Amino acid sequence: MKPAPKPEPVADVTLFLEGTYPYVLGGVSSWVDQIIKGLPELKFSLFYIGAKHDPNAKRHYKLPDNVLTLKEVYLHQELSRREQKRRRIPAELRLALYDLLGRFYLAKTEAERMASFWAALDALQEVETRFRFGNLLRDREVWDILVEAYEEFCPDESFIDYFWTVRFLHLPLWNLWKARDLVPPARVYHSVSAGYAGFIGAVTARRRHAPYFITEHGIYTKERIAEISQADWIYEPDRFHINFSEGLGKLKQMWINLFMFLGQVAYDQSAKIITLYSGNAATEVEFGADPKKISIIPNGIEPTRFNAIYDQHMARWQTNPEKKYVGFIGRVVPIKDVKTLLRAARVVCERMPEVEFLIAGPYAEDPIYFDECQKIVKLLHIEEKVHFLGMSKIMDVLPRMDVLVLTSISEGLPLVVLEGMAAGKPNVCSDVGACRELLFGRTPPDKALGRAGRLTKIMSPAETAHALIAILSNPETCVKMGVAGRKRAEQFYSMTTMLGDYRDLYNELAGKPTACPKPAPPAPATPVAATPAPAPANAPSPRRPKGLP
Amino acid sequence: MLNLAAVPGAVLGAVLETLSVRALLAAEPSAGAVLGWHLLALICAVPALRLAFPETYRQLSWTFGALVVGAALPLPLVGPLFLACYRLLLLLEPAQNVDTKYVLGTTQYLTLPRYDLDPDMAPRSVTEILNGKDNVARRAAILALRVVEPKKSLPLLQKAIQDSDEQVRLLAQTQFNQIIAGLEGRVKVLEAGLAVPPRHLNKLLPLAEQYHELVYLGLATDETQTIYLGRALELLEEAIQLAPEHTPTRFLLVKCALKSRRIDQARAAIEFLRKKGWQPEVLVPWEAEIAFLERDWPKLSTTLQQLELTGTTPGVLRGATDFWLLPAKG
Repeated sequence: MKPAPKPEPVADVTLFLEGTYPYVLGGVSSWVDQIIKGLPELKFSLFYIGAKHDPNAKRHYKLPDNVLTLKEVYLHQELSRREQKRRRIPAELRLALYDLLGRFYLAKTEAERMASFWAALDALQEVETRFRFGNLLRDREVWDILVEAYEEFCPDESFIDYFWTVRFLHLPLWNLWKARDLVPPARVYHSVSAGYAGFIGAVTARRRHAPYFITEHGIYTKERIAEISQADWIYEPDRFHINFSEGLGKLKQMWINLFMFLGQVAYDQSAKIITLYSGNAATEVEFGADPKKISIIPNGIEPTRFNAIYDQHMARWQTNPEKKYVGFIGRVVPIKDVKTLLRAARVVCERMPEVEFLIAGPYAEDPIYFDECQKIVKLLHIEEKVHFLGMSKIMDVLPRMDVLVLTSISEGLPLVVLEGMAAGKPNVCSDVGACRELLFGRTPPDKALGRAGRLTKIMSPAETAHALIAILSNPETCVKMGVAGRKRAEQFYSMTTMLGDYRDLYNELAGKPTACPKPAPPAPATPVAATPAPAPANAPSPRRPKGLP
Repeated sequence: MLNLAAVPGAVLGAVLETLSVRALLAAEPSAGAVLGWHLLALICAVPALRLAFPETYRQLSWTFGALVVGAALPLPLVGPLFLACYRLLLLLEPAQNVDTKYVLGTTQYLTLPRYDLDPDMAPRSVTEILNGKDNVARRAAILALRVVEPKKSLPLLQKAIQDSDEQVRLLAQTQFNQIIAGLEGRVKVLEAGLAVPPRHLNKLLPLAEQYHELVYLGLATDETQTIYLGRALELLEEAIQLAPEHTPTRFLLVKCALKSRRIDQARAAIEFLRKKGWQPEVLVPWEAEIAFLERDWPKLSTTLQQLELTGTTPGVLRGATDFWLLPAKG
């Protein structure tokens, strides 16, 4: 007799990560790392969603000790031959399932679609062991739905393009659905984006009657829409004249609708929707999020790390220093618009010859762009004034900078601005992402602290130069902005606050019964808890389960 | 606003309608009198009745038709009732067009509703929409720019990258980046091809053309323009060394030299083309441009006159030619 498989330990939180930690470097990955390391008392499990399996993929982060498991699933994983074969399913079950699927695809309202979606997933669960992707490819009923939807929605498109688009649309979802039992058990499920991570998070939470929420750093749906609108791998008929009502081709619209729907599934199932700043919150509402569920938890840093730099900066600016340095910390890539900074540098250096510019950041990502930047420096005759420092540690370069500048075209909540604020450096930023909230404050008490810098229009060298000159030529303003920035970083953007907010959220969700609308079958394997499993939804539960502070 | 011209008709109409009603309520009503007064009343009241319709609908032939039918209806109250119903129909918003059915969704993202486009209205310009306050319209306008050639769309996209709405910025930037990536990608491929010996005309000329294209499309800033044109001229000079008689190289050289204000180089290339037998109508506009760049007004006037005499003045020089050659008015 085979020994029973070792039961999986129940984590406090399972994080759903799409194309990020631990395989990809970037802002979201750093944030995940901060959360896991910053809440050592909690046990985390990770569910990583990638595009295609790459055996040479390198983990950029060492998993901390409080990570119990890391499970991986790949959206474009090829199906096995077995999976591609059709299986016979009793007619009664099959017809019921396809009736629901048909209702889902042909729904006339969003509410009807959402209801049929969950009902269809429940029906799919019922035929689970007998159903394969081959059924979706070969069953007569699926073909009928496909043709009906084609005739209803896009009869003018090529049927072949439509057919393959539909198949390609479903493969990632099927791979995720198939992997649903791999999701490590936890008390709270947390997706770090909408899209596929949001979908599997919502489905898992619903099936396991567990609390679920989502954090969006950037708005996934919005980014996908921009990407799909320009994608050349999705067929779109040629257009010969401008028409504001034509919009995108029907097949592109299908992809957009899919991502909008996946976003709604996640928003619908989430107990809370967390984002970084109010601009994002407004976009989420536009994509169907319930405003009552949305909360803002901005990214945080540890201001005390910058105490020494802050003191040194304040001492230096008590008197007007002879030489002054403007710092840019970031990758030298087009989205950071370093060229605007260089043009602004020319204006500043003409008016204030004592000012120099330090550009600290890697430039290997786009060597052509870096080369152009260097040539611009030569053409503007500011070689003596602009210094490219390359990849640098923030703690090494920040003390050398008096004012920070960020000319980005697009940002979320830039950590470098926060770090600059903690170090008492005034910031000049383009008016993108959360920069306005960071520099001017979000709430009335936050705004009362004063301004931590100046905002400029995007791609505006003149405004950037003007703002820099205004700060650099006035030590009093420089100090005042530095103090306001430091206070704001301490009070509203500290890592402790951010971690505390997430700790409270995990506790709150783990301690209260989930608002699940309809009972679903229990999870396939009964997990044996490393820490006690959550009580059923209707049972009185302890306010703070063991394992949580 | 009160239309005074319609007042007498309205008053007369009311009087006649009263007579019609009185005839109807008489002890022995006469059908002829009732209908006659009523018809006359409505005909008099037509200018006033038209005012009950929104301005855009007053001139519609359907409205005239409705008024005539309303006037012709045999009973006094049915006519006005008919007109009221017609007005109501006009003002009802049309159903969102029948095409708004999509797989997995009920709305189409990034479009303007069709009923915004009144066929009687002049087409809306992209610039007008991009300067407007409607975020959805600006997003749709950016999306619609996909069909426009880069030379025209790039300035608008660059403007939209500074838009106040993040989604407009994102859409514009994605589109802008795609155009740039296409052009820069070609430059990269051609540069890589040139790095592999031997260097010949078929490698040098396309690469120079690509650099010129970046400047022509307005993708280069003042500083990068100098870099790109410098590189293009460098490549063209090398191409001339390899194939001195190749005229397309000289043509591109003239364009690049003029753009980067290297007038002697441009003049030499024009001279070469003249010796090769190229027509004055091809070369003289460039000479006019050189005269303009050198602020040599007598020379500019002479070259424009030369074009005018041969009847080959290009459209782009029409304004300048008229300015220099026509006598001042007044």
